[in-house]
Amino acid sequence: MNGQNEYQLISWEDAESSCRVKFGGQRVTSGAEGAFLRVNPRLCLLIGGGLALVMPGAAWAANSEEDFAFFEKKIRPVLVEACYECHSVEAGKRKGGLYLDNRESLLRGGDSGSPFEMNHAAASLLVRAMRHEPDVEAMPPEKRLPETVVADFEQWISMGAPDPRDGRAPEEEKTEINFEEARKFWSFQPLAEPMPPAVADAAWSRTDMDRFVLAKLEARDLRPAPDAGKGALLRRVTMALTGLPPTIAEQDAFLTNDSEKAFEEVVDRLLSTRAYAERWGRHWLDICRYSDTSGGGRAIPFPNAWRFRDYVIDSFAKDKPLDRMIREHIAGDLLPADGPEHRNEQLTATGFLVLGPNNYENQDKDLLDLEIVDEQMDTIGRAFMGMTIGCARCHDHKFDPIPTRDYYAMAGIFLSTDSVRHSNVSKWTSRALSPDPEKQNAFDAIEKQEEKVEMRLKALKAELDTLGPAGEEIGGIIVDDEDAEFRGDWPESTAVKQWYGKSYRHDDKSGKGEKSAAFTATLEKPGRYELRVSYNGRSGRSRTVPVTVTHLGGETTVRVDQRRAPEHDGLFHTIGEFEFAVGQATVVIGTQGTGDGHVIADAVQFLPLDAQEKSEGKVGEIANRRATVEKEMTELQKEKKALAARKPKLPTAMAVLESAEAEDTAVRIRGMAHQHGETVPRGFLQVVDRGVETITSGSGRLELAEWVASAENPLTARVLANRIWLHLFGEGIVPSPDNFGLTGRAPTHPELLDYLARRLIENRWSTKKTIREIVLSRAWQMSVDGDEARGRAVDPENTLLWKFRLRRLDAEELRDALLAFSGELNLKSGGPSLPAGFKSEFGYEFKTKRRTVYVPVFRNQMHEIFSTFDFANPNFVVGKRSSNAVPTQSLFLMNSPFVHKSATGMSERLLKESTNSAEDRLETLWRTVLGRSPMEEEKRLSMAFLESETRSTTPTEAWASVVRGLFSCVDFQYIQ
Amino acid sequence: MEPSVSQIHNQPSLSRRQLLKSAGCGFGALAFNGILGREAIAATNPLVANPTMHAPKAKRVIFLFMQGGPSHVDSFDWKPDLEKFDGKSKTFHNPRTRKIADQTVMKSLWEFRRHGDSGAPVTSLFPEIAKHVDDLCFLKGMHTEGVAHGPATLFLHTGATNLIRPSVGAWISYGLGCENESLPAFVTVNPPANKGGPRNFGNSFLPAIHHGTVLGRAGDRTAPPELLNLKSPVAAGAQRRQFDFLRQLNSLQTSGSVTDPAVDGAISSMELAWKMQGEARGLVDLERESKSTLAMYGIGHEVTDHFGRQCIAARQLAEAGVRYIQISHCGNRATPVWDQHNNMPKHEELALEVDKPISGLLQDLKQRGLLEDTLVWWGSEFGRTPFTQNKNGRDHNPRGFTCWLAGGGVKPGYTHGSTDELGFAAVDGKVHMHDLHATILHLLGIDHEQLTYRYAGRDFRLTDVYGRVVEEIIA
Repeated sequence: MNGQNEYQLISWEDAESSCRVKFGGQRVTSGAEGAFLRVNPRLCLLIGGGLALVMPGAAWAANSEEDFAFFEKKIRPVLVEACYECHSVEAGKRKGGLYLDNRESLLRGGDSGSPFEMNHAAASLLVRAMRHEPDVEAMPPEKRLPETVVADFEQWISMGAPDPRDGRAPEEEKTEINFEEARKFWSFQPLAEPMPPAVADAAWSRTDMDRFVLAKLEARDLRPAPDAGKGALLRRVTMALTGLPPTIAEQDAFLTNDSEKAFEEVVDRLLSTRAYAERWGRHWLDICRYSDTSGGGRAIPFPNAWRFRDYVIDSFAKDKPLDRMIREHIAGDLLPADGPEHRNEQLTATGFLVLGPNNYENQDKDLLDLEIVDEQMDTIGRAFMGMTIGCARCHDHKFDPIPTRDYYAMAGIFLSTDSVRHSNVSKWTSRALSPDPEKQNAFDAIEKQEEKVEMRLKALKAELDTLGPAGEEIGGIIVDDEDAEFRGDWPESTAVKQWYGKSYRHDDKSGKGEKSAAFTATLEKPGRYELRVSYNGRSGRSRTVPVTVTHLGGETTVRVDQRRAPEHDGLFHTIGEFEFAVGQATVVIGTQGTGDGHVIADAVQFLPLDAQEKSEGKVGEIANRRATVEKEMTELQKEKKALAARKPKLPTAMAVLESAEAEDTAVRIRGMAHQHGETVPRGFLQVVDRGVETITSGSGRLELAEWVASAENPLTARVLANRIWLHLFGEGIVPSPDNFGLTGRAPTHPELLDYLARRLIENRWSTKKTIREIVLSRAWQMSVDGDEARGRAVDPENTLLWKFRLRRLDAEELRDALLAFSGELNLKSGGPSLPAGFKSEFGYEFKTKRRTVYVPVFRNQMHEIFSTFDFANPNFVVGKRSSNAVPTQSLFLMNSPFVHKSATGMSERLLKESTNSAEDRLETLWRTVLGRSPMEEEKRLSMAFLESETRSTTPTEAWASVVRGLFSCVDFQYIQ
Repeated sequence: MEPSVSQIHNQPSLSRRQLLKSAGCGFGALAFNGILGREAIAATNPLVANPTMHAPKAKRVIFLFMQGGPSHVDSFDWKPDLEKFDGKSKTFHNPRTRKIADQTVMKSLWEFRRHGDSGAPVTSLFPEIAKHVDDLCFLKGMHTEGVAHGPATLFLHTGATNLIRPSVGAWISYGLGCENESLPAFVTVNPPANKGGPRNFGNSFLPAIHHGTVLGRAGDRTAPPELLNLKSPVAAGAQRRQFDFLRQLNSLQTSGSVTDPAVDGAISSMELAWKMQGEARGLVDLERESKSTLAMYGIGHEVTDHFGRQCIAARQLAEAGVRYIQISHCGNRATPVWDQHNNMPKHEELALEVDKPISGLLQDLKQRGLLEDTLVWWGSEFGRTPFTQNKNGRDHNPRGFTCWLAGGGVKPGYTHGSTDELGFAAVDGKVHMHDLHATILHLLGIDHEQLTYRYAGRDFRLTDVYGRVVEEIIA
């Protein structure tokens, strides 16, 4: 410590024996009796269980009265004026968890930790916030206080932050989540084993499900609607299961089949089609926020996203158990595999974690890591468990029992997983698909190395930027070419490496003898100076450049060989030592007798001889560092190329892999990436603690997958059963399919939900079996026409299912149907979505005639039908699409080229394929589009319309007008 | 009367037709069905139940978006010290590299002069806008989030750099509805296609009706400002007959006992679309304007024609009752137009494209008395550094930049806030982008803390948990 200091230890207090007081390097241990309290009201900091009294340097003085006076004069008024408004008991505000109106609170700090950095006052959070430095919250936020005030605070902290104020920190309100209590909420309860209830009308019920529905209806004195007609039922089931309308042949087959099993046969036929897998795969893709581009700032193409899409469709085709799918989505890379194909399938499944909408250009890579992890957790939470985990990122979940600790426990798992490779614009992880695991491992290893090289390059480039040009901090006085006076034309250049300042100039090897450059410095001290000129030496330069110095001794001309590399840092060359008086001194670079090459004029340095030694070191330092950095960069570039060359050429899928080291992560205070709180062990949500193994090795993804997909997890089976129900009935038993938390909606039929969830598990998580059971129920086969009077009065929203709900065609059904009607639909299955050489979604022309599930999904430039007809937003988990009837949809149906073209196509087919009467054509048209024959009035209306149109236009166009009417009409747009 | 948020939330279940009539706003009303049916609002939000919404100063907003970050120190924020230290080295905290380093200071490439009674400095980049300084309210202590274009552009439009949030215009549409029943409340003309693209005018979790309606074409500042599919490919007579056929077909199909509200809504929306075809087609129409008006916007001049058309479209939309109109000076390349990393002189070309049209817009709004209740906002996602990048360019600067407002209840001829001596960081009268959003809502009569929407279990706001109304600039 500097200077004379006196320490006074004033009191001891009882505490633990391990406490030590540290006084400027001297340590005093408290012994068994107790620990210390403050000497004067000085700073005490609890550091790792020990109590350290920090008394920095010379500022420490025995007399504290002066210190207090300083506080009273310089500090307290500022605190009162600028801070108390948001940080005092009196104002009732404690923003950022910080009170500044009493000593204890100030010492303890707020959410962001201690405001003081005693050994380095300028680095104190308090000072940095006051200076509005980046990465800290600026305080006061609206106005930066004058620098003198901030300097006072800095000094005050250096003094040990003397603070005479009394007052205790008010007790913090700790709200601990009571998990016992929280688990009583319905969705956290284990699945019940509900018995199908007794019903009055036992004859109506065909299945157990029907009894659950009927019991609710009977309780409200409601009657179920009559059964739907066969035609309506066929259209309903065909659309619901395959997304395509039933053909006339299919209609004939069903309508003429009087067997009791007729409907069952239809269902089984539909479930075995590829169209089924495409339809239900797409429902699943809605909750996977599937897209073919990244969105965010640049909307980077995901050329391999289609593999994940095809994986999903294939999985539905083979009716892969849903719990199995979830395990593969979360940890497919870690699951045992039967052979290479299976392994690759499971690797592809983890694309689920990588498909998110991320801003890969984000420069704060720590933040980007957290954003990606947040997106992954939010997606898993909502898609499979109906939990809004993301809410707990910044603070304990306000509604659901998810503390921030749980969030970061889970975040640790995903931070221990590689799903992004950082570079300037980072990239998602990909994995090679190959029958050869060795090649795959080599691929992964090289990718990891590539990231290291990229990040090192990024760091070096940043360092190079901060180093500035060579010679920047050279001593003496440097006159750059920018300040020189030129005679004649001296073009500016940066063509040849190394120059001082922004550029150098050359004489263009012309006007020899006429051109010159005068460098004038203003010297403040008389004396001897070493003179240097700067140029980049190489061939083609003149060997005899005249440099003329005017000094006290007269005028001296030195000839410089500019082909030789200058001796100082390869940039400056000493031409001699000269004596100068105070005032202006001029050096002229001439061009006489330099016909042998270019003359370079870059800079002139006047180096006072006493300063030389010092600056020499500095010059060397920067130039050396620059050279080292540049050399390393060149080597890294080489390495990058070599790595790329060594990387096995294999097809790849978007997929994750385990990080080199699995680590727990720290809670981020208020969600801020750089503000670390306590570190929490990796784990899951405490509120659902059943069936969990602890994480022993690796990231813990495997255990997480197990926990999510476990039959013991009360959320997952319920959420999935509800999703299937929702797609069949148009509304979930839980109407908020992605939110089973306190702010979600309660189930309308809780027992039925549990029954369905149990059936799902009993059926080994089979989607097909579950669908089959539901559509064979009588409830699903009700008409959309019920007892309106009673129904409207008792249950206007039809939550109890007294009739079947009308459902509007979605974007895919509309496009697929129109293409099918015009005969253009291409039913080819699978394969890449983006054409080879695809660069950007901007201006992309959607030409494909394949089913809509294969149309590329862009996050920035959606297909027009997608954006107009409420396609799932690919940035979110979408369990239930919105269905707004807006005028832009009607405008699309009335006027879009697509609809007109389809209508014309259909009209041509009608005229070509059916040579019969107009009436027959109407029959064909109605059955194709609406799945039923026209009503008499419809026929009359259409015949009249046709007649009026035929007067003014061609038959094709007249028929196209009828077709367009049908495309827009209620019975096509809505499925009964 | 306009439907307030509380009304929307407290109505139990009106039929679509009732809403359509009572709300006095076709588009907004159609949205109510969505709102009422949703999980989000069913659990009524106590904050919104009794909003203390106040008398608005502005009825609508026109946002002139200069994409890419025009340089404040070359336009409106005069820093004599930049001249003093031009070419010299100074220490800055580079927001991109997050490192403190020496950088070379570069003075404004254009000369500043004081203008008007207020004496506000403007460079020769914007000679026409300079004539209006006594109507402008400069915010020179702006700061924001995101140092790259994507995050910062999203933050400007949605108040979030990465999370998916509704656009300012969508919030305003949700909060206010619109003044005209044949039109959407939020219209964006030729919006940027990159840097977040449609997320910048998206409704996110708000009902789809609040999604910005695009006129023209995203990413193309030369596209004529027209609505998609508004024009029928068939002749007017045939179109009429076709619509009558559809009407009759629908009435036959709905004549049974089935009276589903969804179907009812679909039919209303078809009627509305039909009406729009007639009304909205003439919505943006140069034919209506006099030669002198067109000249005022620079229409007919090669350089100013495109943006002039956007500006006049903005005025016509404002007159028609649209609440939030955004026009964008943007491009379709990965690098936005105002993003001069190595060629600052290009600012001059760009300024030339917008200067006259914007000046024309201000003059036109003023002479029609529209400026009083129309808030005009000129700005970008960030500003540029006072130091050089690549010798002749400037880098992004989210820590200090300028935007200006005009009309709609802000102080005219006023300057609020400042950056430091070199124009790098905002130091005084600092206005964060959240604060600007809060202020814009305030001027429209909306309390930014009370305009909330419940989604995924919590109440969301445009300003998240931040935002302060900048009272100092309110007239």
